[in-house]
Amino acid sequence: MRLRDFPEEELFLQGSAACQGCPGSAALRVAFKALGRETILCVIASCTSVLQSPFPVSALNLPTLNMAFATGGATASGLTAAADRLVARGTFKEKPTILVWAGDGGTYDIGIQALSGAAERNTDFIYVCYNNEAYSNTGTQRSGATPYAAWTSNTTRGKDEWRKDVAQIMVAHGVPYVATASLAYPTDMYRKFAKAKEIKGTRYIEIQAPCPPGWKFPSAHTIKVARMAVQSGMWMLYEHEGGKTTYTAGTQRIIQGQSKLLPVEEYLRAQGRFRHLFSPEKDEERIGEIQGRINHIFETLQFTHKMKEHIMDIELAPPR
Amino acid sequence: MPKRKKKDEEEEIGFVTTLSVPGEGSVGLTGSWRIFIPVLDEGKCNKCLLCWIYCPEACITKDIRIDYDYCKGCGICAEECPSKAIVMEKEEKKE
Ligand SMILES: Cc1ncc(C[n+]2csc(CCOP(=O)(O)OP(=O)(O)O)c2C)c(N)n1
Ligand code: SF4
Ligand code: SF4
Ligand SMILES: [Mg+2]
Repeated sequence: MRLRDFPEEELFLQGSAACQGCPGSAALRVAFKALGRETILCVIASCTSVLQSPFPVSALNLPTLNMAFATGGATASGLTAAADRLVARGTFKEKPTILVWAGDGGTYDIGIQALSGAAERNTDFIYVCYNNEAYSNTGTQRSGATPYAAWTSNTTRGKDEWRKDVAQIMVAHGVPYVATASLAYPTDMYRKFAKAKEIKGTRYIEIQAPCPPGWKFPSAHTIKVARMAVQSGMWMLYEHEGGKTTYTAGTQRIIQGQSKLLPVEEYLRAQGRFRHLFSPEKDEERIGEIQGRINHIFETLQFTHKMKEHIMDIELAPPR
Repeated sequence: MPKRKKKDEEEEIGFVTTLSVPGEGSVGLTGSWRIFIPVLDEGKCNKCLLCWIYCPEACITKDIRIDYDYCKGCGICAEECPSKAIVMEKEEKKE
């Protein structure tokens, strides 16, 4: 799919309450283009609750339910059961796509129980986590998705812990489709949404969403920071189906040796939330720890790629 | 749901809804947020559509026209344009 083939219709309408350079609105635009009008949206308490604008006008041109923080998976289970009934009765000709849109706080921390339950039941819906790596809407508090050493309003010298990885937790659930996406790679993201739309069962897509006020970079740099995240290996693009992971776009190019990893220092320097790693003096230790982890992951993947190419075709057993 | 008779007062009260309707400009003309304004040089534009897809506000049409009523001036289009066809300029605001 090339950009010129993307539908022109906008289901995210201009003049919303979103901040300048908002990654949430940018992600909604691409997702809505790929999923189309036959979609019922459930928004979990997050910046998206706010950026759709206050009553009585909404920037979201889809039937939308605004739901409580912990309820993404549960709401989807209800919606999809109702939609199945309406199809059986003939009220709906076809079943609409049920889409849950939640932040990382609403996914990694507070919504994971309901999400896990829905995934285990293979509930027929798409769950999107747009991951701005903090509770942005309430003033940038740390979440389970905040990366190591990042400033948030309650990790003022940088977070001590490493982030968890909910996409991998979803892979472990054995759901039919798990993918990660980046705003800087819209054709990759569009393709993943279009593919997810055609699959039945629980589908999980996580989009990294660099947040200008939360991560402290100029609003013009949202896409640039998203791109650097992929180029430096801090964010990885892949899709997982049928027990097999395929790396895509920028991440695939690094693994296959067509491009080199960007030193993570450049990614960190582009954001004010890592400023304490560079001033008053450079924190070689923590920067080195982050680079070390990335190197380890990519060396392993590059090695496996070479093995696959030259020696044998390794197929991992599908889960369960 | 089990069937039951409605009480009289229930019918009188009815219900209140907080249903929003979709519309452009849900918080008004957000072009007023702008400090810098994106200016397009059509001669340099190669219609690659990157600014169209990257603009978070859907303020650039597919035939590359910028809607200044709603453009918030974030600068992403100028930053991402590979042909440098868009530049951000300080906007003179008319009162
Ligand atoms: C049970 C509950 N606790 C707290 C809140 C307040 N609250 C609303 S949105 C939000 C932050 C959400 O963070 P995240 O899910 O990452 O979304 P983001 O704002 O970053 O888009 C919080 C704490 C709430 N709505 N409900
Ligand atoms: S400055 Fe931002 S809001 Fe305005 S047209 Fe460019 S990308 Fe869109
Ligand atoms: S990004 Fe630049 S070259 Fe591409 S369509 Fe927009 S203005 Fe034209
Ligand atoms: Mg968040």
